[in-house]
Amino acid sequence: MKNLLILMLVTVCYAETFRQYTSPRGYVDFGVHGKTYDITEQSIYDVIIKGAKEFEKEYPKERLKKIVESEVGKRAIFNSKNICKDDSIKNWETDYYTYEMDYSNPLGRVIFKKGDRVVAPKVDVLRQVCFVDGANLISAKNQIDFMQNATKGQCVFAVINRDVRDLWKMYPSYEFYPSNKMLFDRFGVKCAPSILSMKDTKIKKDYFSLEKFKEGVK
Amino acid sequence: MKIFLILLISLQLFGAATEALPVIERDETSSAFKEHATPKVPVLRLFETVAWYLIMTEIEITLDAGQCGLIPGFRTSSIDLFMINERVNKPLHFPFIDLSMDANPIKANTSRETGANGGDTPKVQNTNSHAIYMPILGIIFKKQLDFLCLSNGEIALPYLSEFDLTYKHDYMYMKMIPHMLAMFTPSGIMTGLLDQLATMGSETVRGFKSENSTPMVQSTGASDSIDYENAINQNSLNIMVQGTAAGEDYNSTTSKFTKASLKVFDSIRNGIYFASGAEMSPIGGYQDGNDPVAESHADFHAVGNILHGASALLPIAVFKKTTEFHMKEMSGNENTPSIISSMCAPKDFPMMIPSQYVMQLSYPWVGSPHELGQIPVAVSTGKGFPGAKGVVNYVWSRREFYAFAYACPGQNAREND
Repeated sequence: MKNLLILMLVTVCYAETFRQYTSPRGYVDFGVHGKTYDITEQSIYDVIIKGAKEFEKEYPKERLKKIVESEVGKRAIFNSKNICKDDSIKNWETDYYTYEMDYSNPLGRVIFKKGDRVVAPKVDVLRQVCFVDGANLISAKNQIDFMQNATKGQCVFAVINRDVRDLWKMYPSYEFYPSNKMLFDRFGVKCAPSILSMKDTKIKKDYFSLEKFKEGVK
Repeated sequence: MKIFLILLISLQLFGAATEALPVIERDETSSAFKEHATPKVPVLRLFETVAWYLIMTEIEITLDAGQCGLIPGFRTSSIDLFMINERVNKPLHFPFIDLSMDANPIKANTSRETGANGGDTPKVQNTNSHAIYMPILGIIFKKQLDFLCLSNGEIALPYLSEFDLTYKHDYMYMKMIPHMLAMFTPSGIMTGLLDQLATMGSETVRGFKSENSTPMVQSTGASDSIDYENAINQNSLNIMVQGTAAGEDYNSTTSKFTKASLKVFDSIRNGIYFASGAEMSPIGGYQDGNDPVAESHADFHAVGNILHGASALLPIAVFKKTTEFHMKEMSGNENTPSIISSMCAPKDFPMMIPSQYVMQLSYPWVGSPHELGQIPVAVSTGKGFPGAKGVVNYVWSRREFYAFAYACPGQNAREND
């Protein structure tokens, strides 16, 4: 009986301690004194719901589709005035990569300074980059046929002045990409039409006069 | 009998004590699971598909003062939902708004270039990657959170791999950006493993949940109408927003241990900028196609490298360095300002900064946010969807800056003294 009472006492004490720890009694509620102010700040949850609804209203599906179609149209074409006037077949030259800005590691140490020149990686490349001026479709066709023959079908075409999707339809098995400034600047390609070849650490740039690809001229 | 009485009394007393404890009821099941609905356009279901609670967990304003020129500010960390990244099987298909533009499917299949001395087995690469600039938080919060310098501007498509010659031709990428070759060395591969561990550690410390431990939530309900009240129950992620808004605790990144760990993990990850953690594929879009969700992270790492480089060299202000990745602390030189500190203004940085970005799956399933380069099992478990037209991720970008002194994008840059 004595043991039983001790056990009960211990159990009650434990439970009471636990209860007091989680829900204290005997406190005095002093009530609210002074002027109170309503919280004017909106709950962020409500702000998010309202914002999401407004976003969906401002950008319905149709508007988003139009934006995407317009942006795709912009990316599919690269306009350039760099047109070759004369033929020029160059020799193989070492491909140097010049850093256009300081390259730092995350600790802030400059690894490469702007203007530093390094030899580009030694990579054997079977394909050649063929720059095509697509302003005139017939001329573009002639350029494409000529370059495919010249490279034995190894052209990857970089196109200027023409939406590449037009050429995708005309030549479904060839690869066409819009050219860009970085491509021209990186390899020092001056104009189109031209063929850029790469072998080991060397590159070769062949330029062709656009005149020779005009309609009726081969 | 006595023992029974003792137990009964004890239980009643215990019950009275526990009545005082708050009970949190959460409905973590969704009526959407009763039907297997086709995934729908995530952008039109923003509230259900975005992990809004990241705003609560990642935005922090401290009392650490600093200055930009003569203007004082407070050290602040924030996060911004600014981009959508897609990985698609069909060229010029945009699952984020369910738009398919006419594109030649044959062009999508391109054999990988092999070296003149033989080498790798040619692979067929038939996926494409899109980066869609969409400043969602900037549009939603507009003037309310001006000091956070959220992204603004019009929706744009700065990158489409269908129009990028280097995306499917590794040799072109290597020739265009030669220092990326570091990842093809044995030491590059070893550091890639280290990067993977650092990424996993970073994710654990930040409290991001692995997909194999979170309930699966579809990106849409069964009906076409958007029911925001039901969305609370349908999206377990947003339940945390409610809880956090009500003042409940969340994983804070301010604790000493957390900050110290993140310092180490993030500086390792960013020191090995050329590797994308577990995916190890910072260039091109070549993966084996068996795990599109996890591979979309590698895709974004590659796209991020291109856009960081382009933003540094061309007037495309999409990808800039906006975090510090603990440079000063790791260099041990507190008093010397780093030349590329971005506490006062975003800086050009030609390489990808993995710890600056967080990926969150939104199509075909809604997923938890993940660090870039997290191991596939944590990212993609249960997130495959046969017949899905691609994978869409929301991309969040972190920013560390001196609030009120910072040159928000579009303003003149101000520098530290």
